Amino acid sequence: MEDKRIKSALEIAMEKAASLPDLTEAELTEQIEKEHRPRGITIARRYLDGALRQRDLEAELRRYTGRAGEIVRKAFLLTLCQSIEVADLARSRKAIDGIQALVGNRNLEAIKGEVAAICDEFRRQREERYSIYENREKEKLRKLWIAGSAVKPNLEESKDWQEEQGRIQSEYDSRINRLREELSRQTL
Amino acid sequence: MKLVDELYAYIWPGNDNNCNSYLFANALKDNRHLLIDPGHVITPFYREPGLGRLVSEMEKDGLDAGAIGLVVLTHGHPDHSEAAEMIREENEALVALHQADEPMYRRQGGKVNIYLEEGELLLGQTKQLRLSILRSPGHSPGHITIYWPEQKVLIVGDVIFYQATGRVDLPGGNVRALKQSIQRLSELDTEYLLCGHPYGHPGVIKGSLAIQQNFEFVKRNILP
Repeated sequence: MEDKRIKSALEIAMEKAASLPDLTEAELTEQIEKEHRPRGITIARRYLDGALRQRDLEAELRRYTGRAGEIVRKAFLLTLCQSIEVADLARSRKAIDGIQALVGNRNLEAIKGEVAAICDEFRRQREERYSIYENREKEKLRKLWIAGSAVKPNLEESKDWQEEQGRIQSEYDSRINRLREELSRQTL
Repeated sequence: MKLVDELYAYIWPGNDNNCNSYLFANALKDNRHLLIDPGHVITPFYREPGLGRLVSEMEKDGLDAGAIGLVVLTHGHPDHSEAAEMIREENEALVALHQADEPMYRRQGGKVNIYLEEGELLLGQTKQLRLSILRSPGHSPGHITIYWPEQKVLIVGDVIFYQATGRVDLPGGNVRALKQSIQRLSELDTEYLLCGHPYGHPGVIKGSLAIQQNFEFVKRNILP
């Protein structure tokens, strides 16, 4: 005899779910990835922002095991690799230290040294160029009869400086990108 | 109103809150002017035409408002700075203020061409106008005042008014800093004290004695 009882929403949902085909291997992987990648990214960001100590990284990542653990770890390492940037040597160093803490004794010192050298060169180059552009802007102001020790042109409003800054940034970004890729290759 | 030499004072006559403006005529190349604190374009409550009024007053003095080439802001509050961006855009003028007040000015949509630091601002070519820019924080973190030693003129923005001082309860305000700024300004040899608002008085105090008495009054009664 047919069951005349009215089904609850949960029962209907369960019946529908049971009738769905099982996930394929690829779908399952994608689902685990979707779920766990953000966790690795979050751990990396918490570490970089100082909310998580280097010595606690291993334990934090060990909370995830199996396939999920691999995904979290990979996302963590990738985020740290991507956080290396020319304009922020301290953060870049911290990112490499975090990678080193996780991958063990692999020798990353050479990359670390290279990153530091590029960041330093970028800073010096930027300061040098800034000073040149600042003097150019001061000269333009002098021609308008505006001068004096109180006057400091705001280069952020100067198109010439913005273009120059973009040029320097992209030159050094491409050098840093090469190191990021090298680092990813060695650690992932 | 011509005050001294090429310096003009434009006292705000309206009912709403808006600032006094001061102008050094023909101080820049091609007879362009330096304007200090243009104020509101339109005042916020009574919708009075702040900039329109300033322009028409300048015209009465035979000055072309289209020739304003540099706008100096004593600080970034909108009752002093709002019209600066419009003047910058329409006249291809430059806007200058202290970097510490840039964030609040930027939030109003303003762009800054020059940061003014403590030091000398030299305008003109042969007969140079030499102005001293003084850091005078307290009412706002990046407040500056402008001293013209040659004519003993001190443009004080909202540091001090006639028997009153600028507010310190707005973001970035600091009563100790204001007190120090007032003390420092009171030590200058001043014949014209040009205030940022006409509060209970037009805001142009003339004569070193009257100016000293005003400083003393404020030090004794407002910020003891």
